[in-house]
Amino acid sequence: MEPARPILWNVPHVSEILLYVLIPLVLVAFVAGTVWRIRKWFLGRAEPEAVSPGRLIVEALAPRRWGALAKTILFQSRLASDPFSIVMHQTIFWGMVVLFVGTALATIDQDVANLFFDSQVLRGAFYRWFELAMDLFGVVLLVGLAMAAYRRYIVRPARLVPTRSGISLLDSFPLLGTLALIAVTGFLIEGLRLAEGLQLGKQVSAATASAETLREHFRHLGPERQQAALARLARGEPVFPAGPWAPVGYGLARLLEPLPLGAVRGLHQAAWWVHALAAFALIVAVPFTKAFHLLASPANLLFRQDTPPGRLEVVAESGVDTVRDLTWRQLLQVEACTWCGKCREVCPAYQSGSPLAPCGVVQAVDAQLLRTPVRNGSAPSLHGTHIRPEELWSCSACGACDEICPVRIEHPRLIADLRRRLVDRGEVEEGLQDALVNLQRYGNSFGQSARKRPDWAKPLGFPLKDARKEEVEYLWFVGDYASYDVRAQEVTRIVARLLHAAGVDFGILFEKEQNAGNDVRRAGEEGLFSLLREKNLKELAAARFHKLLTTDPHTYNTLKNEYSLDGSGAFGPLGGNGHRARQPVLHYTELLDELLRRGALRARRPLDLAATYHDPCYLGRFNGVYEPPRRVLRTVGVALVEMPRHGPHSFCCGAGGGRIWMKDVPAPTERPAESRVREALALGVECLVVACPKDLAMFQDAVKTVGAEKRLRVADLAELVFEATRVPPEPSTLVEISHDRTG
Amino acid sequence: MSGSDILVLAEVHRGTLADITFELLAAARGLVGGSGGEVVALVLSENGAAFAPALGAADRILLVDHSALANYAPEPFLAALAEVVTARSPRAVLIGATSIGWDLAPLLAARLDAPLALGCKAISAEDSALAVTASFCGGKMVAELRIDRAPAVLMVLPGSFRAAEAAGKAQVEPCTLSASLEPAAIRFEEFLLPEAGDVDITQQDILVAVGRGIQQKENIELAEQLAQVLGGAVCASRPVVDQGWLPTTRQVGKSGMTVRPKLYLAFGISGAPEHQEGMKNSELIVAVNTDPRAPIFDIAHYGAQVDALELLPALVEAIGARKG
Amino acid sequence: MNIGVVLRQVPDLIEPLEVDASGTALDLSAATFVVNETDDHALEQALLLKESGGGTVTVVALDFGEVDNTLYTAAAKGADRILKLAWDESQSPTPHRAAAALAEALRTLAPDLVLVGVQAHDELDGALAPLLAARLGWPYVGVIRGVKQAAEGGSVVVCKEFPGAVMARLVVRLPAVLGILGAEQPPRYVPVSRIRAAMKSTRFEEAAHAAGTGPAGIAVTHMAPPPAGARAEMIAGSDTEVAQRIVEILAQKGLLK
Repeated sequence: MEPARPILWNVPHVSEILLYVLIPLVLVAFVAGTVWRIRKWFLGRAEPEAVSPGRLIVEALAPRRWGALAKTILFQSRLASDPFSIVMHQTIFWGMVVLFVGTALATIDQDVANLFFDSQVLRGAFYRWFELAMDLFGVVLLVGLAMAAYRRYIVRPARLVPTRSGISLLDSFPLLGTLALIAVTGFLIEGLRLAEGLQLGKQVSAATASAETLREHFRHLGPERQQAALARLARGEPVFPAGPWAPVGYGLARLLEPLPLGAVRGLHQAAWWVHALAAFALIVAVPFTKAFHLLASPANLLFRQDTPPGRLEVVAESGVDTVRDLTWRQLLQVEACTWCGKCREVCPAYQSGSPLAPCGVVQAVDAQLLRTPVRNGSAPSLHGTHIRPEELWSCSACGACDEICPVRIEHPRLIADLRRRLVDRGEVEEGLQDALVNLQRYGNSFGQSARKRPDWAKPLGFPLKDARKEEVEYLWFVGDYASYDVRAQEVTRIVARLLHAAGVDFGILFEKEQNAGNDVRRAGEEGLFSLLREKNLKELAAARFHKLLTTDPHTYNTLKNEYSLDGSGAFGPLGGNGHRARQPVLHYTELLDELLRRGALRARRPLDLAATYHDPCYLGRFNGVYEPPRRVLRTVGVALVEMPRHGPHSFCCGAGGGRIWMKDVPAPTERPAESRVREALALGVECLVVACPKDLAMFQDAVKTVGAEKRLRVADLAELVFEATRVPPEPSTLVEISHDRTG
Repeated sequence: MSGSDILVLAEVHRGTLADITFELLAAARGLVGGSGGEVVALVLSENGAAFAPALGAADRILLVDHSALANYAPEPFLAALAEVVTARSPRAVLIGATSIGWDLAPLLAARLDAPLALGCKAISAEDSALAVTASFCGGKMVAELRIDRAPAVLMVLPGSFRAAEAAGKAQVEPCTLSASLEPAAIRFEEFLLPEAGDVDITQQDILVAVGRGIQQKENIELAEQLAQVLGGAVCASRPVVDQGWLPTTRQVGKSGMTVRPKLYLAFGISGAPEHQEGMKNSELIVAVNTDPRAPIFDIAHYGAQVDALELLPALVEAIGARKG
Repeated sequence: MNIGVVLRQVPDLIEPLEVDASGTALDLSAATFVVNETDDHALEQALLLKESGGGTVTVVALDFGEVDNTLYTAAAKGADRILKLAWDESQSPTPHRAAAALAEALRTLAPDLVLVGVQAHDELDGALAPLLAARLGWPYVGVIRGVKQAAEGGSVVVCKEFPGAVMARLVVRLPAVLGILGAEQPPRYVPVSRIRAAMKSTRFEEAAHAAGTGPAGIAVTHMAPPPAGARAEMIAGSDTEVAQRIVEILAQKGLLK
């Protein structure tokens, strides 16, 4: 006789009726709560992209999206950082998945197969494996929950403590405890049921049949199956032949067997109710607690936007005051937050003791969203004590939060939106105000005369082409820092000498170039960004060039992703076909890579230097340029040692997003640039290589502050290329003049 | 008293004569030269006789004593000044470019329809006229002015003349005025003093600034010693404050204070633009740094390429030797 | 309280200044102009007074030195009215000329209080703020950092700055002219979008004004930039020699007490 799952064993009729009354109520509460939450997403504005809702849904259903979602969910691929965390997340996740599938199978077994077809799915060998799997994964789940409890209540890492309260209706709902209760009562129900089975089996074999009880237990089976079961028991076969396949339950049963039968049955019924009610509570809790992210996170991953990461979406020029000024996608994002705190672990502002935690801003928005009624909601302001200006001004727009976020929240966009409202009100950080006034007045943040912009080139000894007057292959958009900062100027000249030596045909815009505005936009001054872009585009449209070359990664980013609005990277005048000729934007590291590869520059004196390379945020993370600078370094003989934080996880120097103009927030811990310098020092390398003029300034300062001037050299990549390519004996000949011009 | 006298407005601020007074007396002495005119100091105060001994550099001291002059308010001061100038018709009236001078010099010139020169750095007498060198446009332009009508009202920049020493005993002459000196529309109420705390480096005439080149916290003491003998205070660039060697109240630069002392001695400061922003307007900058390319030398008036730690004690010693 | 604010354009010191052919005046045709810094503070102080106690702020300016952008900015900041006085660009607006023109317009406007920057860097033979007071016949006090409405009506309480971070509190009966050194807060930032909006919505008003000159007997005979201050004069020698030389320099400058 094959084993089968017992149907509502030892559940009195009244309990059974109650159960089936409760289930629809629970479902109604869950659906109503979910709809209430989802409606809040649509309190916001439309996204700038003109895409119909139908198209959005079609895009969300694309296999690529689901593939990515499945990868994220099944392997929790974006969560894993340390082994403990991996094991914990995986055990809880897979425990829940298997138990959920098991519960679903049991529902089919009970409410479909048995009810309508007088048959069962969970029977025979399949039932045995089912029992084994449920037990094993119950244990797996409990192990995960124990790990989670250990971490949350004993280790208590700071990142798990939410920075805001009132983010959901039931912030303190014990999710972990409820899950554990469900698992434990599940085992108890099984153990008590098996214990009763063991006792009954003995009674039956002693021929003192408690036929009434057994009939009651088998009342849900059809008459034939009921007879068969009773007959099987009468033959002395075990009541639950699959019992030993549930090792935990069976073990518990052995322990509980000595209890009186009445106690076993009573306890079983109590555990059954606790189990059911806990499960119902958990389901109802989803829309009302942080567990809502179970729905919002996947939704967010599916409805993600596919614009280049380097383009900051700006919906309202005057910025964001209430949740209603945000877009539906941004509101969905804040709801997707799982409070994992990873963003603040990688945030240079948070790590240096600034008042900003990216998740804090997200949670603050989420809390205000909760307070905003769905109907004709007059929304409370997000600013003031809720999100303080100091928090917003701390952000260096480095994008590390966005990069690490398991559910792909775009924190930098949110922060820029909020900053824009502060700027609109004239509430601008002191140092930033100086810079913005200078940029309005002079087109550069240094408050220097525009006429002095090309002054860096004076000591070069060769004239630079004026790209406004003659055609050039490369129009070099030099950028503010590279033009005006005394230390960066040195490097700018070296780049010029290298290009000159390699026979590159290039020119500059002289005093007509203005700050490109990347950081102006991220600081929240959208009007000024538009003005700067207008002025620069006017010059670019009038110039004749084939490619745009940049020194500053920030300039690179905005020229590449935000200047040509059609995304084509084209700046020139319209052609006859209505399109602009495509003019790619290159960073100087990319061009040096190309020049070295095609032999226009040759590393005559390889450097034999151990160095590490700092990925600039706006070159690496936002634009994916990781390999060219590394290839350059290897070509000139640098033994490259990577810092722990490199590539997409590079750690910002703290200068971006306009931070370089702002005063330091009093920092109880070390500044981002100092942390970075210590990271490089720990590698024991001689040199920290940078590829951004702002990095040069930040790290040269930081090296002094940590007292490592003698141990660590901060050098621009171009300086190393220059050292390796120049002709050795004659110091008067500054650079090797290469003759194989290919430009 | 004649038309070749030079009248100096002695400035009394909270019970003491302001330093500018002695600089003005020196300028006036240079102007009267051999003309036969007198250097006349005018004290507008309550109980001004007490200041007479300190004003020995003048030939004559005019005292206007009045309770309405106990504390500054423009109307009584202007009334008294205008009456004295009208009565005495000096060749020139010298007033310091101070808080009071910025009121009284232009107001006096306007009331008397007299020529006025702001920003005077040098003044000389050329037969019938005065030749004035005035700095304007934030020091980026210098104008030579010729004034041939008396009285000329000259507002003199502090620090343009070496303070005059009290040479002898001036003749003290009390004045009684016909004008009413009661304040009319503008009434003095009280002085608001800054809250006591750490040294306010923005108010120091002499600053000894230390940077990363100071190497260790213990070496701050060397700078303190020099500040003490010079009568100034110690301030620092950001790295030093970052290390917690000095409080943030002593930080000069973009993220700290902006200072404008008479003397800024920079030891071991390379002079990043952020630091320069806070101190480049100091009247005299002397920079000491081992790196000859340090940008601080671009804005310093004097520089030395030596080790700050060696020079600090040498300076203390040299000053001690000079003072005897 | 109705407040009149004077905004002046002055040559931007960021750009090199040049002397004209006469050799006795700035070449204003070569200069670029910015709003006079203390005037900007005067505007801010006026706006703060209006925000705390009501009233209006009227900006009065000469049509000189690319003033429009400054006036649009003032409108974007919250100035209620803007009077732009016609001006012959070839005429340098010396303090005396400017005072004559502005005083006439202010007399017609009859505000309760006039706020003007205490000085402008291009003033040489007169200071506009006290000159305006003299022409209007109103009391004047300058070097003011902070103005508040007084408890008693018809007057304001001002803080006049003295050395050593000492302030004197004075009560000023209105009408009066105040020479502003600094507002209670730094001038506010106006985003470009607001300035652009103000360009579309703001209309400048004309006003009657008079001509006038300063006293006779003073003339500029020569004008030039000061001799170039090159890099630091480097003192060579041993530590002791350098110390000796520095002490000499300090003594010369009267810095050793």
